[in-house]
Amino acid sequence: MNIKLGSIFVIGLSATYILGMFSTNLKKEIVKTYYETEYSNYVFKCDQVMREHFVAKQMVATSPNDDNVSLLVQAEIGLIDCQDYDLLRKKLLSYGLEESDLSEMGLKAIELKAKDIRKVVEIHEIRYD
Amino acid sequence: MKSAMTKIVAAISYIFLIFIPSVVLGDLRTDILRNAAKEFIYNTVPFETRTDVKKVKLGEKLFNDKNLSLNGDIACASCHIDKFGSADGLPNSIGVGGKGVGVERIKSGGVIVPRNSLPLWGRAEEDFKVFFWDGKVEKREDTLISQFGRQSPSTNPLIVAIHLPFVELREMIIDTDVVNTTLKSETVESASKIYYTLLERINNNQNYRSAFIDAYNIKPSELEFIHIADSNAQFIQDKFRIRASKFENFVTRKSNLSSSEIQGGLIFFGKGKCVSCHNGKHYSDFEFHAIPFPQIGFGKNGFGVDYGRFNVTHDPKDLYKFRTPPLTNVENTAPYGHSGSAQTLKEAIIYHIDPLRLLKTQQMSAIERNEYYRKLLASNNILLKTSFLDDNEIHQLVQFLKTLSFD
Repeated sequence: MNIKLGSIFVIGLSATYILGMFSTNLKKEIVKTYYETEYSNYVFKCDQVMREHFVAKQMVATSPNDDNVSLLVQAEIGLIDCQDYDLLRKKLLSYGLEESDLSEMGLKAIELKAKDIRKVVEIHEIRYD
Repeated sequence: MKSAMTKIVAAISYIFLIFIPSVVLGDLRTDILRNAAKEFIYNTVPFETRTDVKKVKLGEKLFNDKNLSLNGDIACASCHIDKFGSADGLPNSIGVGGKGVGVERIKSGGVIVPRNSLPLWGRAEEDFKVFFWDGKVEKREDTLISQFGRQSPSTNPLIVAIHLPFVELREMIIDTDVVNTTLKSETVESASKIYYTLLERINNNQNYRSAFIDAYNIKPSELEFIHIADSNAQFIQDKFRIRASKFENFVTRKSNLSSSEIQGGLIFFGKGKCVSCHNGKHYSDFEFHAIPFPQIGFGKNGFGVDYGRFNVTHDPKDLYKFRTPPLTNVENTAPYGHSGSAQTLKEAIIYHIDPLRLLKTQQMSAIERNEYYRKLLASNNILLKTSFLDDNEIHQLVQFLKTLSFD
């Protein structure tokens, strides 16, 4: 009787753990799917303004004049897009996602453009062997 | 109990984490936008409007009087209409022979003037120094440059600019055989003959004559065309003075903007790089830049070509360049561009950042495409500066531009 009860307890505990794990992962997947487009958009925008900020800094370094300084100020204002990205990151972390999940979402966003290459290769049946 | 407290603290932290950053960020954006406006736009001392009521009233009458055109069929008010933000709502203006407003004017069979009519906001202000799309009247430091050369009728660029439409063929003079043989000489002397004729009409009108003598405190024999131009300038100064826009009220903390307008403002001052050229109180650097707007109409140089600033300087570096248009009340002054080829603000923005998106190259002739390549090449400085903007950002930018209006 005691062995039977014990088994039921262990099975119940395991089931609860598995369900718990499953529900946590399910929640994560739902959050990831829901925010995927928005996150990828912010990843692109932040990347874009950071690149432009770097170029603007280099322009001031190589040709320090009023126009280039003005462009650098504008590029700094443009960095506000990275605040949106940071804010969404914090939000997603608070929803239970981990850094590794965000990294995965970021990689997916970056690789979106790489799909073009795959598509071209498929369409033209380019073979390398 | 301890567990309950922990949960409450966790819940409050969660709320802070989710909601507070957006509030803080909202303030941050507002502050950034206000500071940018102070740095790039409102960095000059406000201009005080000083006008004389008598001169303003006289100027208003003349502004609407068709007798002030040589052929007597067009007034200043024919192409500067309140309904269209003091422009005429048409891609190319319709000069002599035009009747009515808007589309009616095109259908009426008037003569096409190959440029988009410019609005008049702020034209009388001291810091407004470059007039017309190609800057054919401009004041650089203390030097006034115009077609009049050393015989300039005034040192005030607005008054000199007012002189020009009266002697511009197609705009306010129809090129009849008589005009072609007696006046079409591109000289100050032939322009003076036209001014003299118009002055005689004023002198022969007792009401005008008395009003001028009274307003300017002059003897009858002292009345000259400069008084006509000055009264017009006084009217323009009074009626088209710049008032506080919704955006200026936001900057001075008298009103708020929507989040979309703020976002658009941050694009304007930030990654859109719009403020590189659209800066200062008039949202214009009064410099000349090439933007790849397609050409509508015959063009100033004919066959769908308009060389812009080059027509004034004859410097090849100025090909396809036009003066940065001011943006006061810009939402009301469509269409946009030197030949009015952008129907909406959205289109005008796209021509700055992604011109090929709107261009139907297959429908263009080979010559049109060839001309467009040259224009694109001349625009490379602008196209390299501007960033990619998605449609939502373009919409936000349009929302912001609409805050530059006043009632």
